[in-house]
Amino acid sequence: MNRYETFIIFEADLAEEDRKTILDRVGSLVSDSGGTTILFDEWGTRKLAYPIRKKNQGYYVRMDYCGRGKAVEAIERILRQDTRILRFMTVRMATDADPEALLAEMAPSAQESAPEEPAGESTEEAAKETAGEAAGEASGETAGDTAGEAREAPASDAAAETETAEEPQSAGKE
Amino acid sequence: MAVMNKRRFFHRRKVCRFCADSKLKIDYKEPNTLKYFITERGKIIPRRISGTCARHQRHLALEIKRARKIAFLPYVGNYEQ
Repeated sequence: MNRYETFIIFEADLAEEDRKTILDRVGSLVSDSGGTTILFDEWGTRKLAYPIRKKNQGYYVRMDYCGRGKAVEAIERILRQDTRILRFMTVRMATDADPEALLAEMAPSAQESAPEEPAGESTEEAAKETAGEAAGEASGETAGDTAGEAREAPASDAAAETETAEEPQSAGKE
Repeated sequence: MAVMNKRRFFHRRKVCRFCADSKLKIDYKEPNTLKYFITERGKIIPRRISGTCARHQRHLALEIKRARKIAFLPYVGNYEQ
């Protein structure tokens, strides 16, 4: 499974409900194909750097999910057909991503603050977590197991990963 | 002699900003960082001018192009800005 990130630019004056229905549909496409949606990150209305379809503003939504290439195909097909969407772009963030690890990483503050009872265990876990996170950040957020191997040369690894994202991105471009 | 002086005068050691500061990320989601590496017209500044190293320039170019696609950065800049 790969980790993808899709930016969707809606028309700025589109009703929130319409946006919701589109996003729900896209989210269901991800789960239907066996993927996991990590989050919908709504950036809100922004000024476009150049007008698209004579519009100067757009509503940005960033979608972070794990899935296979088929999911991306299905999503882009839907997005392309919808005239209320000004533009979209999908970028592959990482290959062999573990959605559960990413979801856990998304809510680290909640996890760390909540379980207070097992003191000895939690310190061990915390140590593991911090180590995993540090390595994960350096190596472009790979899964915990691979992060240990990648720790030897995290900087070069990160660069290698981001560069591998080049080809599919340009291929996925319209 | 004059030429030598002139050269010495204008020569400034250029350092890749991304090598110097590893916290500085090249990311199409951060157009404000990328803005520094495009001209007013929106062109990507060559590395012989910006001093960026080859590796980071490649990465930078890719991210600028991505940023252009989703209208974070202009394809053709407005020179009035």
